[in-house]
Amino acid sequence: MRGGVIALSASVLAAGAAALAFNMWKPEAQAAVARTPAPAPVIGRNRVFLSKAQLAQAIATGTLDRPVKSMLAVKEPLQFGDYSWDDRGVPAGPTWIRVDLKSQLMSVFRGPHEIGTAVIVYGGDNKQTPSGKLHVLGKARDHRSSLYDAQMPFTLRLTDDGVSIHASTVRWGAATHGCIGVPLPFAERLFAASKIGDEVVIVGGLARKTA
Amino acid sequence: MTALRWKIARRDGIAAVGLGTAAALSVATLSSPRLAHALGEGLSESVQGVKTVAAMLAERSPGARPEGALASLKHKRQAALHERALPKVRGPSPTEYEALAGPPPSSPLAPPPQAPLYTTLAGGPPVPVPTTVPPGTPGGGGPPVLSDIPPPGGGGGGFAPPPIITTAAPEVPQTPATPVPEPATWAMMILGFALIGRTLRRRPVAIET
Repeated sequence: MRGGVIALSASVLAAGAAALAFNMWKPEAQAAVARTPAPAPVIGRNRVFLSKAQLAQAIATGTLDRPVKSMLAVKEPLQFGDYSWDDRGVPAGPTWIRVDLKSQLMSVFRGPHEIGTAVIVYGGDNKQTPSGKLHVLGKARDHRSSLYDAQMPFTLRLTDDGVSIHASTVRWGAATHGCIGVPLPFAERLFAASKIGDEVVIVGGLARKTA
Repeated sequence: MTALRWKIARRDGIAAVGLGTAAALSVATLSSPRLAHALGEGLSESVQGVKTVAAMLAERSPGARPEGALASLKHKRQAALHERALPKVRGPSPTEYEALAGPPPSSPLAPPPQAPLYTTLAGGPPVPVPTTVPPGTPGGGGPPVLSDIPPPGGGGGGFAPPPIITTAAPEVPQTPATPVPEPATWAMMILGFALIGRTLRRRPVAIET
């Protein structure tokens, strides 16, 4: 009986020490050995980490074209004008944007983690939004279209003929002249998170004509 | 007997070690978010591995855009050339009676009438105006009286005639405009009759007692 008590005490001490070591070892070891800045905070729990099988299935079906580790956990369907943004703890990495015209969704990734998603409006039947792999060609915080005489805040220009991502009125049944419209707060965050040269993958529409 | 006691003590010890480890790990997990996240990440991979990425996207999607329910947010701006060439507000062409009677008296705040528009329409033989009609009154086509400069005198339909007409004006019988009701007046009258008839038809008959 006395041996059992001793063993219980010893195991409690050992497990506690192990947990303490786990908490204290990793950041300090990284800071001391690799001489990197303080590690990023914990990635928010508001996301779903993809398994290898999920990722393989998504790449095989064309839903994703590159490795993705986590997606934002959106509990319910987004309404027009809704968006979700959570980049807490996501380490630095290249920003890329995935636009799905059929499901009217945009997903913003930082590296392998999704940091934002929103409902979009896109080009009508007479002026369709091009599909394909584009890049951010330019940025304009307070852009005003001379062609349509309209404000287009937080513009990320994608093509030479003016197709852009910009803040817009996102409501049911609306369409643009080829641009991709996102809610204004989302556009502001996206504008801050992206830079010229970032990749934009647009799926679900007509393929872009290449000259 | 001693061996049996040793076995029991050993079994108790193993159980105690397992229990203590579990208790300590649970406490450490609850108190440490990093450890909880590390455990939860491994757990999530095994539990949430049933939903595809496409299903996740479909869950958050508002659905595909319906056909035929599109409304454009912006309209292409009209060119400035068209704005100059074609004024947006253009009144109806004056009828014969209106041409004879001249434009209606304009209020001092109203803009001056578009003289070029009426020139070609009422540019027939100038209709002289009796000398009793002061310039600028109904029958005159000049700008509204806003300044001290007297406007040019009469002339049908805004045509600015030379002042010679006022001096050598032949006698022209004044033909008052025939009071022909306009279509809107006709429509209002017919609607009124229809309402009266409907009211009479629907009026409840007095019950004889």
